[in-house]
Amino acid sequence: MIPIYVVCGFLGAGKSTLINEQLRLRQKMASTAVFAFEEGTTALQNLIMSFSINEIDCTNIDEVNCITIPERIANYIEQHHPKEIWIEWNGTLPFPQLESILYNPLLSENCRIERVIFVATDYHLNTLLPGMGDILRSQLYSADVVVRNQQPFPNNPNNASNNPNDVEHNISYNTDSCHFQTPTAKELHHILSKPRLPWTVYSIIAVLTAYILLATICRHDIPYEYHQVLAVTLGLILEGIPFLLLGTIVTTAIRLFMPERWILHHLQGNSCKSYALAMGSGLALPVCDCATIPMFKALLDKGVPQHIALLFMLTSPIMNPIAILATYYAFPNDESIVLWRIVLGLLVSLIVSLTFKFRPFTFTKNHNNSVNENNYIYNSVALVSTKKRLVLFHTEREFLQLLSYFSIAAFVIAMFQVWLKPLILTQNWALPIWADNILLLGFAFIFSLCSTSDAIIGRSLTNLFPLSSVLGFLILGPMMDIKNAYILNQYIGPAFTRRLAFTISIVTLITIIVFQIFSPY
Amino acid sequence: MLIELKSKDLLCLVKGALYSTLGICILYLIVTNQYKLYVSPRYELFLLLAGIATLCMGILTIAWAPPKQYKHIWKSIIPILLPIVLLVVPPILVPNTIQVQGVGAVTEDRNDFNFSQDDISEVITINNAAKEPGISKSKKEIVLNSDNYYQTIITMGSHPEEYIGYKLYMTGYVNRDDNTLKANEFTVSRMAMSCCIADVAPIGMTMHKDNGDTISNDEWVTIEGSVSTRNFHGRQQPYIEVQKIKNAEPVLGYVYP
Repeated sequence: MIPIYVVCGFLGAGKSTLINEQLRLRQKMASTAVFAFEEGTTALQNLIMSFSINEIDCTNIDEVNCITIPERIANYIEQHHPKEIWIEWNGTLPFPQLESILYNPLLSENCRIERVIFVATDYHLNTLLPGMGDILRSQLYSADVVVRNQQPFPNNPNNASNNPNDVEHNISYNTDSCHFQTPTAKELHHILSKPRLPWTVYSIIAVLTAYILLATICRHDIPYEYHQVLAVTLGLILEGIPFLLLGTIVTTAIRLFMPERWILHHLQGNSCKSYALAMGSGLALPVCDCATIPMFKALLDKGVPQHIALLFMLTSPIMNPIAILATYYAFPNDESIVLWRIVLGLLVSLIVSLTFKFRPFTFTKNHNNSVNENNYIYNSVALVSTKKRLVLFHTEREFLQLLSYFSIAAFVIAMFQVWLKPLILTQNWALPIWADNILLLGFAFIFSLCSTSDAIIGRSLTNLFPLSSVLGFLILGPMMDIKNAYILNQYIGPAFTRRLAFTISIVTLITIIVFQIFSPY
Repeated sequence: MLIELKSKDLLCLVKGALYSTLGICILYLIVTNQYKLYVSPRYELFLLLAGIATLCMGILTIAWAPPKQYKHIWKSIIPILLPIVLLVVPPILVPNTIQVQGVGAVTEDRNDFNFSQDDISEVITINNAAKEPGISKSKKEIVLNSDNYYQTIITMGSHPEEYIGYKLYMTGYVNRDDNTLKANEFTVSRMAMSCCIADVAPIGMTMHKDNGDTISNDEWVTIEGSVSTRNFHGRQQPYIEVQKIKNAEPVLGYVYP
């Protein structure tokens, strides 16, 4: 198989120069072929064929041009048998187009893509990348090596106004590649000669094999608690999958189908109607508290005001019909607890979201335009993106991401449940009354699983703690716990999570203290 | 069709296959009723829908896979792989491993009455007469089986005075976790799952027997007793006076609300 090295990037970033330098170092000049898909400023050595944009730009893989190019390249390979091929790819064309050429059956049986190198200057990365959108992102996404060339700014030869964090952020979008600042030709040559092994696949297989061996052969030698942690993790994931799926489907529906006008009309944020809608929609959605976070993000992206979206996120786990039923059955002697849970829960959410209305949180550019690689819609040139496929694509991506965060959180919670909980709950807590409230809020944060199981746990806690603190547990648990905090952190950011956690805790604490003072219990 | 598949992106095909496998695993769990080891039965419908949805998602991902791509981020399959691996090669789950402490589980036949139950402790036969499960006001009998275990205990706990003098039949394992137990007192309980495997906890009732301390912990027993009450922290609580006791086969599985 002939290795192909693809060099892509902006016009004038230094692609041709790089190719020339590498060819010189590789000393295979006679048997290296270079194909150019861009007319650059520097002349390429060993240039065999050059294709213009008109020839390349085809959107349908059956179009004549798309077949001609692979044919021509295949003919050349057949006649001259090059040992290496270098390709300079146009910065204005999406990467999938190159893929459709190179993976054409005529070519794919003779050659394979060995490395993709993305070349850019800091200036380009900062200014042009956000604007060029998906085309350049597709190239950056596929790159194995990102080369940052220092080039003077057009108007500022000193090159000083570059914010390194911004550049890093734009590059970090593609986390699988390695990036270098102005490498010398020799360094780059050295990197390119190292074989690229799929370490991720190897490690997955290794871990899998190790687990299977341990779980079958050494089954009874491992202390039961480790089994229990895994069993609890699995139980949590199994229980969560239906609700995570539901949450991601609703999120995709919000992102793709919710018309802006409807949002402007109904969720504007100044009318009682929007508050009522936000609070009441929880009744229609039996989702668990972590599945509401992607919905929250989608609503924000769509332009719903912060406080309304937040109100929705905080009230849906409490208004979840399953949770209400569970609370009702968990406290058969005390039907009023269900009502108090709902009423106080709504009150706390309302107060918290109003604080965000009057002192809104400023989402920094990084959060808003987060170019998380999982959020990237990889437009393939031949992907007939009908609405259906787009829906599937979005849902699947979102689900996978949410499931990965949820699994990590489930694992942490499982460890807490198995190792910490017995320690803590068997202690005799003889604390003054006011401290009970704070203690149970801490429990809610660490031990809350989902709003339904909280009800059961809350019932067993009523034997040990006063009712107001148990109510605090029931209210804080669904809104903010370890799972939520972690997932929120990944989706939105640590600053927002901190502020939200703090606000919710304080408001809940004050509410239950007031309840304790004025209630008949 | 294979040729068509060869031109599709490998990662999408693998993901589609994994989704379908996960969907099939979930459906298998539901069909064989083994899902009850992980989640409470009230989630059966949701799990079923999720299984079907995951299966569909897998099939569609394969059918609508984009053409070959260069970049593959393999770590994205880890979240789907994890539950599949844990389901196919499961860790040890709770009910099967309540090891009876003390190899000398007393086989001395404290058989005062004939008792038998079926595998899942649903059909109870005492003295060769099948007993109707549940609370029977006319016969003044309470028979606990796996189905009504949780609810009956809750009901008894909320109005214990109503059942004073009733005859009670139940199977469970002996448990002395409650540190307020006095001499010759023990609890007969079973593991209950209220919501999911993370909140599994024993639920049972306090018993008293004259030589109750001779019965070892974690031993499975069936008891016939008479219901009375006692004052516990200001509230009335059911308190069972054990009249007859017999060794029982451990019952696998949880009880659910």
